[in-house]
Amino acid sequence: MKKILIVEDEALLLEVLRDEFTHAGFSALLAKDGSEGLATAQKELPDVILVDILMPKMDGITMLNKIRQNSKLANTPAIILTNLNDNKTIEQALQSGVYDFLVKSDWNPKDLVKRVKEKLNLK
Amino acid sequence: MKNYRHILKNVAIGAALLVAYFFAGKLGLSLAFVNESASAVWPPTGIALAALLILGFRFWPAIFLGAFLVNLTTSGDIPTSLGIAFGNTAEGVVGVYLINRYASGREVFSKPLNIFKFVLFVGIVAPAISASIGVSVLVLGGLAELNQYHAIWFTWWLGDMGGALVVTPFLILWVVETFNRFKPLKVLEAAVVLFILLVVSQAVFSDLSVFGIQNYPVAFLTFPVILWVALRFGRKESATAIIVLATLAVHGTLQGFGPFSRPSSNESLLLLQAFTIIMSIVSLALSSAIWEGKKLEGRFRGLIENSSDAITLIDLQTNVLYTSPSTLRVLGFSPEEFVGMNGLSLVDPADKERISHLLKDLVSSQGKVLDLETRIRRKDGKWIWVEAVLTNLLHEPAVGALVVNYRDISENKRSQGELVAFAQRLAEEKAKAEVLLASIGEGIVATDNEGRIILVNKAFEDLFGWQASEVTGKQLTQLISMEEEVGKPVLESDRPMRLALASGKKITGNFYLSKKNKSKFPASITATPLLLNDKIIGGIKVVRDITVEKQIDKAKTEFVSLASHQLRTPLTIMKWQSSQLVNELEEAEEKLDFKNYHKRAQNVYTTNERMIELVNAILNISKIELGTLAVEPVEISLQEIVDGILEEMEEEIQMKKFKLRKSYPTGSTKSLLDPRLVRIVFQNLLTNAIKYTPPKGQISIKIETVKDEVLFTITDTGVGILPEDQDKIFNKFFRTEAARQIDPNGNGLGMYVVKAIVNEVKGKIWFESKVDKGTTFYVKLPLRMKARTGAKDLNESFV
Repeated sequence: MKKILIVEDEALLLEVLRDEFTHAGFSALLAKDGSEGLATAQKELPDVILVDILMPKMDGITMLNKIRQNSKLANTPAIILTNLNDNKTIEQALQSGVYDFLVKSDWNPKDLVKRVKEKLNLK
Repeated sequence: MKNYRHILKNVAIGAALLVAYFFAGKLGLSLAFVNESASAVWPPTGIALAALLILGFRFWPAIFLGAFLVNLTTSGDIPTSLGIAFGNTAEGVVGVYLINRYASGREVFSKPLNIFKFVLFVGIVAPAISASIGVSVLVLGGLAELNQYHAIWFTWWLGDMGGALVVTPFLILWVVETFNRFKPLKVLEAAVVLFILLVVSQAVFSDLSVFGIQNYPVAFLTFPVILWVALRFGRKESATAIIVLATLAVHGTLQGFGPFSRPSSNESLLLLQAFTIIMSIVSLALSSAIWEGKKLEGRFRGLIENSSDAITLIDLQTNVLYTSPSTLRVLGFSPEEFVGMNGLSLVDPADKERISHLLKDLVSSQGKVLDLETRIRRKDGKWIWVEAVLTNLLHEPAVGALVVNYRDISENKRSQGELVAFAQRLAEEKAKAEVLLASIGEGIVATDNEGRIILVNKAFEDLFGWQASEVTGKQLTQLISMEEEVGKPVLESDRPMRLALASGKKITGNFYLSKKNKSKFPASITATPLLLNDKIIGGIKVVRDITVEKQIDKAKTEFVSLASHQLRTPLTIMKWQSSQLVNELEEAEEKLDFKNYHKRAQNVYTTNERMIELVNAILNISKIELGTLAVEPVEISLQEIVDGILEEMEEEIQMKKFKLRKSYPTGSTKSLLDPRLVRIVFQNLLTNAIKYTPPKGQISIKIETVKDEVLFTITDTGVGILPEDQDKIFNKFFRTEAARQIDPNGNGLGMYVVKAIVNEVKGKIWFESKVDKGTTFYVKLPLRMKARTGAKDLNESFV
């Protein structure tokens, strides 16, 4: 079973994501901000990370840059899921080595899970 | 070809000179008595001197050859002839050299002083050379006895001297002096004087009269005639008269007539020679002195008569002694009319006393100069302004008068008046332009067509920190650096002013410019060329500081970005929740499982509410930030508004079991407040106090009037604000960590709007807070708000 770390400060969104990924056969690890996400990642070594950008305490990109410093997590695929879609943010995200950059409002939960699975070459 | 002709011409002149010299020499030697080679009459010396002086030294071979041939054909002895020829040539060359060097060359007869130099150089020194060489050669060649040396030498010397002083002036003056055609009367006079000269000469030196026959010493009789020529005619006429006199005298004397006739012909000729030489010197000196005087007089006359100023000499009684011809032009009086008149009689009577006074002062000291302007009446009755310079030359024997130099300055006076008016108008225009320039908020700099600064306005000084005096004349491009973006300089040739001056077109653009203190700022630039008659004569650059605009721009971009993110979040929630609801409802149709439906519907509703609040808040903010917020005060007290809000929140206060304390002023204090704006402020503060205070806490509200202001204080026992967050709580979208945890749905705009409204109505807001102890907000509002028109439709809910 693939472990997915979901980092999202908006509780109602986090809850939906948890339900959908669990339903799709993932083991969902949840964090409601960047620092919590970093701690969970170090401890649990997830197979994939789904992360928002604007969050209290630590933003998503900072979190990813810190995670990359851990050799065990250096190659873990990461997907940004945010409502920021300006070029500057996308560029920053791509520099921190993300697999995919998804804009929340463009997706519904079911398609989102499908997309993540495709990215990870899972059925 | 030209050169060949030139040589030919010179050879011809040289040949002519040789022939003239030869025959003059033959004539001279025909009168040689003391030795066949030494004559008391030797015209060739005069020919040699005149030729070398006029034609130049390069003609010496003609002299040399002429002298050689004369002597050879006389004595037949080659060596002595060569020696004598050398002496004669040396005489001419040395004499002419001295004249050129020390006595004005060809102009030797233009000054009496030069005449004496001429006598010394060519009359005494040069013949001594010729005589010494010639006689020595004769003695050495055996053609003369040594004991005769002195006698021959003296004859030779005097003969050459006569030739030099009689013949040379005649030849030179006829060449140098311009020929003036005499008037008929003068021609008659010349004929008369020539006749008298001939008669007198013949009477003294020939057998025509008893004087000549008896050898009476009456040579002086010729003197008045020579004087007459010198005084009444010119220099060349004098020289001619001397030649005529000398020729007749020699002729008569050799025949035994006249005062100088002696038994020995040589002795006779020597005496005559002395007489002729003296006559020549006197006549030359006198005629040249007169000539010089006439020349000077002519110059000064020309100066005075052609002067635009008029010159009048007056005596102590201001009577006119002399006046220049230009008097006619200035005063309308001809010189003949004006001489004898009283100068002061023309002066404006009103100014007479002052002028008399000044004159008295002028007369009292020698050489004093006085400048004055006064009004004078012309002959035609017209009044004119004159500017006069008076000089006291009473003590100068040559003048003995007051010299008045004056001219008409009426025209100047008139144009001066116009000039003053023009200058005044110009100054007014300039003042207007300066005020205009100074009052323009944009920095303005004007340059010449090479980009050098001519002027800058006050705004430019303020903007760049340079003073006008520091930058005038400097190259604009060197003074101010220009960058497209920070760190990317604009090429000198691409700068707007350069482009404008080069193309003649207006150039605009935004750049970063440097100030005097090297700091940089963004500016909008317009460079316009200044055209005059289609020629670019300079340029004007207008510089507008766009720092604030850039900041606003940046803030707007950030706000839009943040706001759009904020808006998308609740939209996403609604989308996802409803999407889940749809899926779950689909499944439920099969399973009849209803567990999440109420929760999802509730989430969609709450999030939609949040969305509405957010949109309202964002619209309000844009109205406040655009500065179009209306203020409409009505008569109402603050406690009325606060009580109204508290009433709406009654339910929540009850639910959380708060203790509410109110402290209002006794009696109603009526004030002028905008209830809508005040409501938004206190609704936010009260909502926050309720939201962030744990149950069973206390909320105290106090209203008091201080002078013309009302102070509202609200104290809670809530979670408080971290010290590091305290300066951010009024920032747009800022939320404290505690606030996020307690109310995840807040948008972070409430306190921003509160602060903006308080500022808009000229109030103040501040707070004190301790974490976990509570927070106190203070709001001070004016009791009488000032009305302002603008946008009214502020939306009430924020939170």
